[in-house]
Amino acid sequence: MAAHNLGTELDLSWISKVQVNHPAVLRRAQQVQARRTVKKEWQAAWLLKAVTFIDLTTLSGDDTSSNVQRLCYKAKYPIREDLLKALNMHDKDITTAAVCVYPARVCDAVRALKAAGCNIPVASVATGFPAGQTHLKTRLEEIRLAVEDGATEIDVVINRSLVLTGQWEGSDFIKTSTGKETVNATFPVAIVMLRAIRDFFWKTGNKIGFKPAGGIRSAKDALAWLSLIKEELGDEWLKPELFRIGASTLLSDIERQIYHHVTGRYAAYHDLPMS
Amino acid sequence: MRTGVIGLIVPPTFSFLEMMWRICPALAVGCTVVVLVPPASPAPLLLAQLAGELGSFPGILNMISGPTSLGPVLASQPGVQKVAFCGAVEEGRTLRRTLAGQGLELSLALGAESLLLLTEAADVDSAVEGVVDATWSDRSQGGLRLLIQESVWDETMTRLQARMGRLRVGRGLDGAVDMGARGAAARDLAQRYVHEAQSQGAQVFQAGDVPSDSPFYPPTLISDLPPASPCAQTEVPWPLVVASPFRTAKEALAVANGTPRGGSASVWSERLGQALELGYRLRMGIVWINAHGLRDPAVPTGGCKESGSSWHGGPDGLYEYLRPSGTPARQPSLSENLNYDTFGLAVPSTLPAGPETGPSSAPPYGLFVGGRFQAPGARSSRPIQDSHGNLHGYVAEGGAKDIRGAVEAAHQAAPGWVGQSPGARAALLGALAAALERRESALAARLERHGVELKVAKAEVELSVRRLRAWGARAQAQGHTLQVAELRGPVLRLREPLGVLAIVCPDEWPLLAFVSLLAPALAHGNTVVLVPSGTCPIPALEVCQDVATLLPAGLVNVVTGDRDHLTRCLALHQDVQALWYFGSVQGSQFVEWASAGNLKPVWVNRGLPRAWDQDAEGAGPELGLRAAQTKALWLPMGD
Repeated sequence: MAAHNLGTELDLSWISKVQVNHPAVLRRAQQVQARRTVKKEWQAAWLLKAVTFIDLTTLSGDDTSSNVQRLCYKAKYPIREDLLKALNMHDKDITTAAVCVYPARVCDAVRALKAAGCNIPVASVATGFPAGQTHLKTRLEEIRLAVEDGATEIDVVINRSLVLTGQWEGSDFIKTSTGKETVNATFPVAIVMLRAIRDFFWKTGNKIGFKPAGGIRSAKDALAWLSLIKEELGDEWLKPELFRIGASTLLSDIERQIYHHVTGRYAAYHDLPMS
Repeated sequence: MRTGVIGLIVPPTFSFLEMMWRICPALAVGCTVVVLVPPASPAPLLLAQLAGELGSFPGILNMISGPTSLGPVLASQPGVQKVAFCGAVEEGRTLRRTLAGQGLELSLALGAESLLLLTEAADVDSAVEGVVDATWSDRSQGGLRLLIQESVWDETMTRLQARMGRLRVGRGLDGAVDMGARGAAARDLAQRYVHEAQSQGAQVFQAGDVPSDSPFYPPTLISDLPPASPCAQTEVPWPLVVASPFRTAKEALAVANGTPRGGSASVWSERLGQALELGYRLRMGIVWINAHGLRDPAVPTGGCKESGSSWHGGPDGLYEYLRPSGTPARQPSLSENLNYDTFGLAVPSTLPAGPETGPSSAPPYGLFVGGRFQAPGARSSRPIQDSHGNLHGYVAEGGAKDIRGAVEAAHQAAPGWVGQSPGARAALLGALAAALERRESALAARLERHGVELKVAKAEVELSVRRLRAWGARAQAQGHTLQVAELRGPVLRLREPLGVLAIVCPDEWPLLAFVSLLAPALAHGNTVVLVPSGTCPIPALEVCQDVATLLPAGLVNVVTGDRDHLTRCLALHQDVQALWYFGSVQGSQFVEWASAGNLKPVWVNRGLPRAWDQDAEGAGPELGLRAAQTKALWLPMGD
């Protein structure tokens, strides 16, 4: 993780001076998606880079230790070994950025990663995920327990009632949403958030990270997101310390694209290991 | 009805789409088109191929590849009814002068520069994207003048420069590229401008990922260019942006309206009231609010002032290729020996041939300028004779100074008149109509002395009264909302006054024509300077006596005198926004030639009389169309 955001004095005038013109932001979002994406070996390289940004996530009601273990294994070996060998990237230590689970499953995740000999962080969602409507005492206790169990990153759900009444908190990363809403990570929203991150950096020198989550399923989407970060913030933000993608099925689509790049054929469902 | 054969001249910088924008409406209303394209540009060749595929209708679209000097040759072909020229300002001027008197319509679409006005209440990041759309994308047409409010100057420049660093220049058809190239000529023009700007003390910033070979030119931002420098007066070429600061919205308007160009502009502000105020007061053909470069076939696109007054898209685009039914076909009437330098320069002497007969008349009429009758600068009058050769009265001998005074008075009265609601204007025109009605017998008597039968004279006065009322009522409709398919939000087609409209009235129908021309001009918010009929100006001056009491001062100004001389003064005046001339063939030719000075739209009759008593010619929609100019105001919505 990047150095912690030391924060600044809350200056609400910064917020009140912000103007966002929605139609113009929509046009910019369309323009970004209309650009031709990178092709051939550059696309393969971008996709591998995208893998290193993924917070491989499982947030279902029926999570147990067995599927968490499978997930952690997939996090350590995201792309099939022979495909990586064909690209000569098998020794570059390509893993996902983190594994993201519910607080109750943190123990299982830590154990599975240790068994696999992998040191990627375990992130836990906490604070009454996804609605955030629980008592402050229990929310704080959740975070404490998750950290005790071994989680090194916490995805905090902000208290929306505080937001709507103008009482703000600080953070190291901003995330588009829990991923459990009807509309999650869209480009117009992201553009506004990225501009805010850039403004904050220009004003204070602090770099805040960005994590879009929810609805990013295809490799093409991932490429568009990477190019958006590159355009708006620059290469400095294209690091796992400052950029994460919260996704679960994205990894299999990326793997399929890599398979196609290496072999020239489209993979069947059973050709690639489950996550 | 459709105009007929259109000659279209396009510049080398035109894209395929731009050409289609102009050709398709012409074909749609039934005209046929001959396009003169510059050699060595590929897009027109594609167009020629398409034209060749119109198998069942050969000849409706034709292409000639050649230099712009062929333009006058194309225009002189007997079948061509109208020439539409798109390109640079100076070439447009030259063409206007060359085609004077040839009897065809000329419409000009000149220059490609646009303007972006960034206030402190704007979403600066989005406005920066607007700058990219305006100048550094493939949709952009020309350079950009960027006006930034001082309080957000630093912020805007930082973001703009950061954004420029991420632009990619390359082959236009590559989907990953922002901006292509427009040929070596465009590159050289940009290069020259940058060097000149630097020598005049400006700061130049260039960035972006640009291939090093010609003809690619990097996106360029110029700031600190002194406003008085020659560079600041000329049009900004593509792909340059010239940024200047302003302090208040009022100053922004003064700077923005302070050039001869009046093409397109965008206003960036999240404050609705401010955005609309700026949008309405910018003298431009198209204004976008919080957007730039949006186009749609249903919305008229064009300019005003020296950007030419030709339109494409929307209803105005169709009117370009239509004429009122019954207009005679073109008659070549070029007087090759018309000396533009001497036409109307000297006033022929009006000493009477012999002793004047007839009762000694009332004191001479003065000029009606600034709401009152005043003596002319030359302090002389000319006699007016009735149909029997007897003296009817004296009218003032107006000259250049009087024209100058009249135009000034008209400009002073303009803001007040424009600010009146259409209802108030209608009421005033109605009051004038009532006053004319009361004066009917006097006016009829005056007309009778000039050989008009009493019955016809009374009818003339009644018709004049009716027309005043009718135009007052017609001007109630201000503008309307257009339906644009892909936009959320309205687009308004506003009809705005031209400004000061100069009218040289015909000799036929001395009262009716005077009123028929005055009424639409006033109803649409213009102020007018009129030269009444030469043989019978007295009815017009009688009307002025009512105007003096009823209408604001300076709204209507009437100058009598030698018609050719006064026409010359009006046509050469740079601050008259439009000129309507109903007189001789030579006069029409001179007016067309002289209008090249400030490229004012002109309407001439080429010596042909008009049936003013017929509603089609005397009160038709053509008058309403010519009396105002269109502005398209785009208001994309969303929060």
